[in-house]
Amino acid sequence: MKVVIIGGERIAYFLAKSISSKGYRIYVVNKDAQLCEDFARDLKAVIVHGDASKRSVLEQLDIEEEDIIVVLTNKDKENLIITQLAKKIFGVKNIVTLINNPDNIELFNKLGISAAVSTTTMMQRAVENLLFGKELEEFLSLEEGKLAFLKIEIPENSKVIGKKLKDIGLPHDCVVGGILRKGEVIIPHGDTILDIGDILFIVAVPTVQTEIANLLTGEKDAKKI
Amino acid sequence: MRNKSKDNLYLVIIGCGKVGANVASRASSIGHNVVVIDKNEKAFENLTVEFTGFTIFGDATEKDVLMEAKIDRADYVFVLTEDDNTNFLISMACKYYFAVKKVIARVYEPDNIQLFREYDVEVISPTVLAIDKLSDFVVGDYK
Repeated sequence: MKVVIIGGERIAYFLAKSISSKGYRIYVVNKDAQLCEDFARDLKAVIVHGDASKRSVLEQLDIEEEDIIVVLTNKDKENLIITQLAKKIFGVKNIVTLINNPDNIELFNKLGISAAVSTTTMMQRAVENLLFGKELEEFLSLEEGKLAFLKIEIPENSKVIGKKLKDIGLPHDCVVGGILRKGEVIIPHGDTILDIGDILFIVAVPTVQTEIANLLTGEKDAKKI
Repeated sequence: MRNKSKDNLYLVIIGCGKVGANVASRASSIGHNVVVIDKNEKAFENLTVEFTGFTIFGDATEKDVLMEAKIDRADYVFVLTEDDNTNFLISMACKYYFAVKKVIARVYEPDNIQLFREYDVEVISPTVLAIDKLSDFVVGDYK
């Protein structure tokens, strides 16, 4: 079994370095001749200079079904054709790929590539968590972000404190699934009264995230201004 | 579902080069509804005066652009960019995001043909066509 790393610059380098240090056989394929020279000097790996979206290049790699293929180019169209050639023509089962446009994650999944990593999505999530402030945290998102699981803490001067859940006017596209209060879990219903420091676990459509955050963390007399 | 006759098709053509533009113009001139997509605005200059359809200036590897073309309603999608890898991504998006039944793609590299066919994309390969045609001269009585 070997690990074949296709495309990528720094990620490919550090990935190859860390995997080879664990004693696995590594092949690195890259289109960039200069990069290949650097890799050949610095890595304990077989370096192949060529375009892996070409079947003839893949054929040189003696790919076996048990191999692991990691695809890291910065173009989704290349990643797609490489993963599909590997899967359909060479019968490789374990394929990991980078995805640049988050819209394509679903496509790769439908084409049988379940290990698709989108750095854009990860960065987007990190930025959004900063945007919404520390009170709101998206801790899980399903179906490429169509459904979000949010965790939000009720701050000290929130206007919803002392109110019933059904009266605070949460948007329709969300459900409060649980409340963590002083270490105890409450499964809420409409009559549950909110308190300072409650941590709400909410299942929501991403478009209402901001509305939820504003509603639950908004300060008491803020609206009068 | 509306029953379409052969003389009123909805075609989406991706890539407005010489082939794309000519097919689009001809299809448009005989009354089909045609939408052409290209990411290079200048490419639309290839269309002839007969063309009465719509043009979309955008990158068809992006889902939003395909959606704008209402590609899910297309009877045929012709994927004719200059690059096999681009054509593969677009063909797969048409099939798997928009359930287009008839996707026909241009494939230059003969090595790629099998992959397109595995996913039920019809292939036109200029390379293979030329090889076959030229080989006919050499192995004339082969057939």
